[in-house]
Amino acid sequence: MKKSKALSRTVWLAIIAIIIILVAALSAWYLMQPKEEEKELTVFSLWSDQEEANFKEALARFTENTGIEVKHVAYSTNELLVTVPTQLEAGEAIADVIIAPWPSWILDLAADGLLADVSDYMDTTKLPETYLDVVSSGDAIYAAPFKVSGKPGFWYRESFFADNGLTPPTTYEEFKTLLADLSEIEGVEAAVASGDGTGWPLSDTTEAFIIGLGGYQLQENLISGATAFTSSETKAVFEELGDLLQAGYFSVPDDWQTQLQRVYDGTYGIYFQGGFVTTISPFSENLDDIGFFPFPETDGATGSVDYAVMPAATKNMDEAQQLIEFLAGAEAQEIMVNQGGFLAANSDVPESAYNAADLKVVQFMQTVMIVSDLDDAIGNPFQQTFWDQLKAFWVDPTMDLDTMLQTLQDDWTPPSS
Amino acid sequence: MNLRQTKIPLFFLAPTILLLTLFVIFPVVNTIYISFLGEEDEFVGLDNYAEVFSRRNFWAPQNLVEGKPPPYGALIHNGIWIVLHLPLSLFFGLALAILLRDVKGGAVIKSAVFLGMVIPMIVGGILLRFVYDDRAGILNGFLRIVGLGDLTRTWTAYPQTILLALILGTVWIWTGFSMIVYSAGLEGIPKELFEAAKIDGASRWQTFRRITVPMLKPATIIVITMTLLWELKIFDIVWVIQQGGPGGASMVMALMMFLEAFLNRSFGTASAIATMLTVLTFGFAAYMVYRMVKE
Repeated sequence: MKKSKALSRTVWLAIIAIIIILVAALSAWYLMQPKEEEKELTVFSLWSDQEEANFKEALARFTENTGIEVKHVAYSTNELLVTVPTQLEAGEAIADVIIAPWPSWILDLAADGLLADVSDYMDTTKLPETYLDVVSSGDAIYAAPFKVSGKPGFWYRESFFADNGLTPPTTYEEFKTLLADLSEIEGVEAAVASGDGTGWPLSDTTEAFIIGLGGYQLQENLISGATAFTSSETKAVFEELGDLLQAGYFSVPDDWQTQLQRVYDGTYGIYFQGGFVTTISPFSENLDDIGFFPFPETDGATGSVDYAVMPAATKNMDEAQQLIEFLAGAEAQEIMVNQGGFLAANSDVPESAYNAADLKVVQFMQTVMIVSDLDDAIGNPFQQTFWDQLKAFWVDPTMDLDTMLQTLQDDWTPPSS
Repeated sequence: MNLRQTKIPLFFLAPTILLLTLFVIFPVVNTIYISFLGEEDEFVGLDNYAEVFSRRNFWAPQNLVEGKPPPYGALIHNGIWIVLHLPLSLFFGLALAILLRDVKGGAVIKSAVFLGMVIPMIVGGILLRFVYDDRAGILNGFLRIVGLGDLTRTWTAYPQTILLALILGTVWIWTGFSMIVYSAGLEGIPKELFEAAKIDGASRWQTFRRITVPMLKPATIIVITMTLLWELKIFDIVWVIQQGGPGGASMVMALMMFLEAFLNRSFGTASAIATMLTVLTFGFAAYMVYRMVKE
């Protein structure tokens, strides 16, 4: 009897073992079967929320035209800057197309052979040369300009200005008077909102002062290295900005999107930002009440271009090329322009595609020299240092300017070419 | 010992040795090797180490010498972290373990304190941002309630306050660990010792100093070792709050290594920092293990 029980246990164990082996073998066989080719492209960008929804409209049109599905993944600035180069260096193209606004970063990746030449997939005659030059090396062009974020000036609520008898300034002296007047208004905590995040909102504001007080040529010279950050003309700009910071005209930096709400509710008076703020709540729902004025007497403005790049290691080369071609074309860019907040890079996009607010930005940008974003053009390690030093300068404007400017100069490297 | 007796332990140890060699020893040795290479993989001796020490973000003692606020450089910031965070974590952990030992519901309070250890450090960092926020922060709320509204500010936005704010914030996160280790240590002390001390007329302080503290020495060594290692490799909380800023005022070694490697793609200098971190952590750990074995 005992022997029979023992035998039955052995039989059961054997059956279980055979089942396990069979399941394992079947699983292995299934996994080894060649999979059907997936035609879904993966695109990385920095856009989330409304900006992502707008971009998906363009991607949906691409799918409609070609039948190729596209998955969009939103990354933060640091995630994109840090993780993508590492993945690409490992020979893994986790995205088929990446949208990024940093020409220097793009050329660094291209120099390491990590990006494909996309010059054959766009009509370069329809795209501004200045946008292409900064992402070109020899005959190769490594990125297709998709859309442009103009940084025209200070945004404000028109009804708030009207209620308080304020008018947009036309001279720098009027601008300083406006800051003083705004600070006097009850309930206004600071005249100018300061955006935080990784640091780019502060750098955009600072660049407006560099261009506005030093001229667009100063910005270009700082990028190329023709003028040092330690030069007297650069220092003069920072001293002027420091005086305004010390006067308490700027708020302590806080999340840049939260600051939009505070400008709208009158906690702050004005806010230097790119034109894309018109796509973000509460500005997007109140476009009739939102206006901007440029930095007084400025002769330039920065335009930050969002580029589409294609990793050399993408497994879906043909489909990715089609997407690059689509994004560089007028059809995709018109979809983006229609939704507001951005300007087209492609000259075939008509002015009629812009809403009234964006048209004002376009018209202003046509009157001044468009220059590259300072830190995007120089790249890292300068960019990180610039952002970080400005965060300290904003809350401690009495800090030693010479040390700060020397730190910036130490991390400046010639833009890749 | 016959051959069979030698082979069997080796057979069972082999997978572990293989995995450790592949995933620990080889990367460490390779990192040390890379720390001596330049951008073109040429041998550059100690140049990467010299380069790291020449960076203001790594070594800038002038402000400290002159009594000015940070930045002092990542190496000194890590040192300050150890000097302040370690004793505070030890003290609060031990105090809570003793106070809550015989209290009804003590386990519930201990669980609440330990929550800081359970949450991911990134989440802990986000929570600390809120704690120190000018508008929404609990710290500033408290200051307003007690009539110190003039002191309110976003404590993590200023170079003068961010390092201290981070260190004190992480004391909350780490105290749960030392409290749990000390609680386990306290349970291990025979009750007879306390009873004998009571009969002999020892005061509470004498009992604490002569019995509790010496008997908790192994627990203390564990807490010190783990806390030191955590302080040396601190990264996530600093990254999520201000990425080492403002103005480098909260930069630490692990974060600087990360930025050098993955943002600046300078693997030589990143490896040099990693090697220094390895030497420091290994040195501390080896000394503490030696003390533990000696105990």
